[in-house]
Amino acid sequence: CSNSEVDDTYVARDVNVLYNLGKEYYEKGRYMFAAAAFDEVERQHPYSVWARRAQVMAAAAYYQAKRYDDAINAIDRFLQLHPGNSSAPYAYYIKALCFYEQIADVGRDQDYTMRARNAFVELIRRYPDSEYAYDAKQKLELTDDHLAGKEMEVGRYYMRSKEYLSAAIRFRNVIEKYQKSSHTPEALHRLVEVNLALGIQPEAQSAAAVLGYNYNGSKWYRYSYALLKNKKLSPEMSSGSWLSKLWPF
Amino acid sequence: CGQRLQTRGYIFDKELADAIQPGVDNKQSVQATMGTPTLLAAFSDQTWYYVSTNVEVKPLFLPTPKWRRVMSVSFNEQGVVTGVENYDLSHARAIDPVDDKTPTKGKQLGFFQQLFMNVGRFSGQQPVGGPGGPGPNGS
Amino acid sequence: PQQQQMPVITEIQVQGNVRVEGATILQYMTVRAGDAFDQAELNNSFKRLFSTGLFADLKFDIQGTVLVVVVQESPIINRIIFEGNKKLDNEALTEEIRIRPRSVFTRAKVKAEVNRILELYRSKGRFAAIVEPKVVQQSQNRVDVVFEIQEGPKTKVSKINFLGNKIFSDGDLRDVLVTKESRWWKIFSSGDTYDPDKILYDQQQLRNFYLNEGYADFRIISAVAELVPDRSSFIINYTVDEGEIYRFGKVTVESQIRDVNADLFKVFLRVREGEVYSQEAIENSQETLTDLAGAQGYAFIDILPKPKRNKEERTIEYNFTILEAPRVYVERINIHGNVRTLDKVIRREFRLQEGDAFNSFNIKRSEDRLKRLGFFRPEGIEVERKQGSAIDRMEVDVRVEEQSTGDLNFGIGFSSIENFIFNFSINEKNFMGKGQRLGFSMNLSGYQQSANVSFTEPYFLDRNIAAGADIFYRRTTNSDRYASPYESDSKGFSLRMGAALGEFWTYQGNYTFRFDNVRLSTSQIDSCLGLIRYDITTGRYIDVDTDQLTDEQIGYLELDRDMRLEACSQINGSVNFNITDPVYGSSLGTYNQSIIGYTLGFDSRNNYLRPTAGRAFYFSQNYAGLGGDVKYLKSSVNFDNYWTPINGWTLRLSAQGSWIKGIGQRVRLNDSLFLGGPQLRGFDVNAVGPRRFYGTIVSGTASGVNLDDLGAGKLNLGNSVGGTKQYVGRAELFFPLGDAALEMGINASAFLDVGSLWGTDVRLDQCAFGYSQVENYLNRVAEGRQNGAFGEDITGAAFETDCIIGDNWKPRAAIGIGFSWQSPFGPFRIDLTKNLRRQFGDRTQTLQFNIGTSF
Repeated sequence: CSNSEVDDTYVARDVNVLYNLGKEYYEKGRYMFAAAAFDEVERQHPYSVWARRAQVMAAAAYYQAKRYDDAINAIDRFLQLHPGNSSAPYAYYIKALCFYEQIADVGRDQDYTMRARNAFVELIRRYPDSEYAYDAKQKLELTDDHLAGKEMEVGRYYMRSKEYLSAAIRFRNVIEKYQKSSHTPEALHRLVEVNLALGIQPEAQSAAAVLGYNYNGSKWYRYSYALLKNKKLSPEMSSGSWLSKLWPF
Repeated sequence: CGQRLQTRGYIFDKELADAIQPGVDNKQSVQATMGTPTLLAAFSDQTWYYVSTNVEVKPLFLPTPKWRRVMSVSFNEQGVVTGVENYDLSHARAIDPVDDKTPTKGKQLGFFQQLFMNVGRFSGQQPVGGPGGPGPNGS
Repeated sequence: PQQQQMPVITEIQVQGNVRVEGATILQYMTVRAGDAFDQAELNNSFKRLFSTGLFADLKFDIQGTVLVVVVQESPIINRIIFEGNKKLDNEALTEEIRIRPRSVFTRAKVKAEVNRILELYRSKGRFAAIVEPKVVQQSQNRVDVVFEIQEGPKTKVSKINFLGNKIFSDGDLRDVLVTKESRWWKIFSSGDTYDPDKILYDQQQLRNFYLNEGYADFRIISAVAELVPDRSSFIINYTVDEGEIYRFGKVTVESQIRDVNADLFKVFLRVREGEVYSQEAIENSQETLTDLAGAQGYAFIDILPKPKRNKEERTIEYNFTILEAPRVYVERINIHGNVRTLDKVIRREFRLQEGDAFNSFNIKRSEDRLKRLGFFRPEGIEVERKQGSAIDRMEVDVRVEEQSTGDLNFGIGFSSIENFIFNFSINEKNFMGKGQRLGFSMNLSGYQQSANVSFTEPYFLDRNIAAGADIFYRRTTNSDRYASPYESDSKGFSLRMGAALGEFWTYQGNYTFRFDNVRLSTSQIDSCLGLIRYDITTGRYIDVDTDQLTDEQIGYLELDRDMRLEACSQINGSVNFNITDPVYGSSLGTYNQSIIGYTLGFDSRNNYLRPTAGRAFYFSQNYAGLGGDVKYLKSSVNFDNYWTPINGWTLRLSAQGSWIKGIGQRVRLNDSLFLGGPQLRGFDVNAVGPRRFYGTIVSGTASGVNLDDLGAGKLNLGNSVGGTKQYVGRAELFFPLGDAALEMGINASAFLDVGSLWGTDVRLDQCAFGYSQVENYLNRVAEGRQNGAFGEDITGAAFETDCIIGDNWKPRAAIGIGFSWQSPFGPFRIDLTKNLRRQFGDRTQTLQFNIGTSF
């Protein structure tokens, strides 16, 4: 149902009635109606306390209805008027989710992943102990994991095209910038493969050693071990004090 | 017809590279003469690598390496060069990359989504928590 | 208040705020209770508060030590109403503007919205739109904002004129531009809406075109877009000064790098003294020099071409200087904006990889390659260099703007050969963002209907190999007009894999599996029997009266030698056609072909549609016999050369030859080669080649026989039975017809076509007599003479023949002139020919024309 027609039916109504109507629709999952009802609260009673709450609820409803741009507009309007309001953390959270939901798969532009990541970082910075900070931290990890996935995708492309140096740079990037991502074991194994192809045996061996030490059970270590054995090499750190570089797991 | 020689990675200047002496040079002098290393050792910052490959680019084929020089310069705690090794094409090992992939979290774009490019829910999760507090009678 | 000893603010009060919380106002202010009354701080707070746009009016009152902030909130927008918008609905307009119901109203914001709406209309090609904002006061400090819109007509480009162009026709120049003139039947094309940044891009295209044709002095004096009085469309007037054609003068190479010897590089230059100037040759030379230097380890170089113009001799001397470039490496290539296209599809077009030495020319070449993909708006591709993680490291940021890569077009044509032609095709160049091509095309004409689905992966196995597959269905129908008494349809698939072996050489291997079904045309069978009808879909018979399937079959068919049914009988039981005709018998039936083949090609022609220079050479061989019922080897070779000594005069010499050899079996009819119009102009379709000469004449009956309309007597000249060897040669001279014709886009050519088809595989022996002997014999018969042309006694004897005639390699030839015209309805071509030599029975055709347009 288009917004305009809904507007007229809610002529001057008491704020509680309108607000509850919106909440009801929200619980029943009829998000566009909910959004319209909350908009109406704000329109008819711009000065009531519920106008502020309704703005946030409208944003949440638009988010559920996948109308991400409308949700972000509603939130920006809310934050401009009420930056200090108690619902602000939730508003930041919804805004971050709107970006999060539009993340493209790793083969394509990661613009939304970056925006989601920055939004979550800001949420955690502003409201570290809000109830959303915990979920934001998790989602932040997911966005980082996704960015790591993008690096891996490009690295694997370079490897398939035998551009081993470019591949090495990408896989190094994963283990440096996204250490805690789920792609690290594979990145380490790829470093073993790529360094062997480049003929830098010590690097291949130390990558395998770190993989063995930190991810002993993972299939990637099995692949590396088999590869090194096949090339009559063994996974051991050959240079520098690797204990100090032990990863904080 | 159409095959060309290209250089991938670092461009070596033979005299400068061969002039690096253990015990004489240190990190500053190596950086000055040879520039930033192509790769740092992954797990210790005491070794620098300069990697250069000449590949032949021919139609139908992937670039095939014809010449490679990998120069590794290792330093001690004080940053003085302790050793210089050179690897060439003979050290390279043919590899057959494992055909496996770590799945990326969240949903890959389905066939039809890619076809019509309508990006739906990335994770499909519901947002956590409600909009801060109960209804109108609450604060 | 004058500057006293700085009293302290004891308290800050906020008055007049209704909607905005006091806490919010305080938060925006830099002054706090307890600070001193510092004028600068107050101003700062005042500015910050006002810049939020929340307040229509703001005042700072100082009462004793209390700072009173008096605010008057800006009104809230209650509703936004659009009036007068027809082409753009409310939904589209609401999405475009920033202000929303319930957001804060300020005059500045509304003015910005008006521009935003006008910009939206401009992007849709409506430059004549007018937008008037109106503000209606409502209760509770709320306002309604009304946008009164007059959309005005869609501003198309109705005409593009060129002034000052003497050498190239308006038509040629229009082809170069992206903006196209709007035509009533061009429903789909969006190229004809007026768009200023497209005009800018067009000017660049024009300049490149002339620079590549040698006109180094070319200047665009003005490019003016005038709005027609009734504001419905634009006329764009380009005034150009073509200047004179330049040639290259002395070409030198200098090197500022100590041990790069310039002379060695000079040899590889693509620019020769005396050649016509071309900017492309300059760029190609830069490329070869960059590659050469790179191959010798000098990756950090820039090639700087420095022209020196000599106006009198109209030559340009070029000096290429090889400069030292800073030793910087590309650390990372980031790609943005690819919402649909996969990262690797863009990344693989790059001529340098991460970790390589940075070279500005390689970046430029990579940008060109991205443009050539056609997936992105050419003006939208930006390659930016950013500082990397170290002083000698650099990041390259590539931003692309995707455009629709699907195209749909259909065309209707009419030609003397195939009467009506209808074709439809839909293609996607960037299927699923993977850079793959998927297309469906369909052609219907009076003579042939075909449909084809094709898929191509240009980077098979990440290599520069284009692999693809096609599924096709082709059906040729019978009609007297095309002298083929049988119908055939063939369906199948083919796989292909090809690659570029160099700048001009290409190689492609292919495999095709085809299932052919050649049968009598159904119309013939029905007409003959009239009792039962052959149903092609089920392959069984239907009783005409009861319209039910019947198991009565057609028994024996008596075909005349032209496969025209003479008699037919029906018997029960299943009998397939028992046709013993030597020419067609062996070709009917269903059989499958499994063909493997390759094509080696060289193509340096400068333009695909109307080449004026360059050569093309293709050689292909196909072997049918990898399984399947049919075994033959078919080879063909093709030359095509173009020279344009003086502008406008182009000479084309082309030759084509093919031959097919049955292996252990005769070549079937529909695999044989056929020749006629339009490859050999001046002849009808499949009109040339060996044909059957049969029939009997009893002496004394035919009177004054004229061999051309032999039908009168009992002697018949059948259709061409195809051949196994064929050649065609063509010499054509295109010549200008002066400015007027140039203006109208008419150009003409004179041509000589020569060709022949011979060596049929049909089980009939050659006629033992020549064309003249037959004529001579018939005349003698008509006059009741004693002995025939061969000296035998012909009194009362009958002349019986069933043999192949016209089966020899001697050339058939025709000369003619042709005109092609870019008519408002599409390309129109007409050829008038005069026949020079033909064989016995070849059917000539003096006028051929076709007109076709695509929407």
